[in-house]
Amino acid sequence: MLRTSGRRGKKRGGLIEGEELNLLPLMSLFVALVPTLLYSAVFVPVSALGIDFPGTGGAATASPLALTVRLTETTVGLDGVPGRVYPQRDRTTPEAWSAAMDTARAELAELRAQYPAAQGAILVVSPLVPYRDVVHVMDAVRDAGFGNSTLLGAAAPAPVMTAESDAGGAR
Amino acid sequence: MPQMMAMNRRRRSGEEAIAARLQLTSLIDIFTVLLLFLLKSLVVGGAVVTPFPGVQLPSSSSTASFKEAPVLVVTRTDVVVDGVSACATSDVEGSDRLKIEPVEVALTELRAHSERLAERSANRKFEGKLIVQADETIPFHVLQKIMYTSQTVGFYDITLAVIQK
Repeated sequence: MLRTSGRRGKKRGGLIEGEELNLLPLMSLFVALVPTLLYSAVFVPVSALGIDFPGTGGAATASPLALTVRLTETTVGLDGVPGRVYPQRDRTTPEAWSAAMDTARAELAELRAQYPAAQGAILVVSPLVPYRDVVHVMDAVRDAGFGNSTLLGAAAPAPVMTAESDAGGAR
Repeated sequence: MPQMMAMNRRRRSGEEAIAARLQLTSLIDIFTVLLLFLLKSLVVGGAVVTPFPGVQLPSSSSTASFKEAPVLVVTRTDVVVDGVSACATSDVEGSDRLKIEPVEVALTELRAHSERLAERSANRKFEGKLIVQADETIPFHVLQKIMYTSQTVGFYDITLAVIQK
């Protein structure tokens, strides 16, 4: 007699019970996958920020425009653009810093439109400028389309000579 | 009494063993959610760089990925080269020279180690790559000295690690 039902299962009192799903292989797969994915998961996205160095053939050395951004403890401004003089803007307060960067970004966008082939910028940074401010300026340069920046340290200012130091030097 | 005992013995011998079944359904639910979350966080291609404990990396709009390279960390207190402290950050700050000798020594050892590994493997070679993780508050001249010292040893391709905005 042919069985019309394709279901295999225990027959108990007229009811056919289906077989239960075997979850053990699925569990084995999950136990193997979860630690692998946990190892490669990134919970804090860390990115790479490339920089160029003087004398290494960076983008700024081959650029038709010697774009320079001067960053000191108190000011920030563009330089090196033929025929244009940009003011060094105050950045002593957070509001002034934000406004100065907004202006710098607008100026960089304007320069980008004027010099589409220009690549790279030279960042001349004073010694005590915090690293995060340097990254902020590098972001503005890269977002304007100029690519990586070349970092240069500004020379430390010469010590101020006073009457006492003059007298000591004369001895 | 003997009849009761006989009945108990028959009941005990006739009972089927009760098998306790592990309830996997709930566990599967948890693992499925965990798996979906981790799949979302999966990084394919490029090296995964973990921020060094105690270092607050600056945030940046950069989205570039890393290539495998040794890591140099500049915390607020120490300069760590490949997991080993080379010198204090205050020593670097106070130095009037661009080249920092303890860092130079540590990087020279690191380079020698990379070159020894490259000799044993045709696929690996010393490429002069270095990843620098620096705390966002350190002054620029510290970073400048670290980068200068790295370049004198032969690490010309320096990448800064930043937190993606």
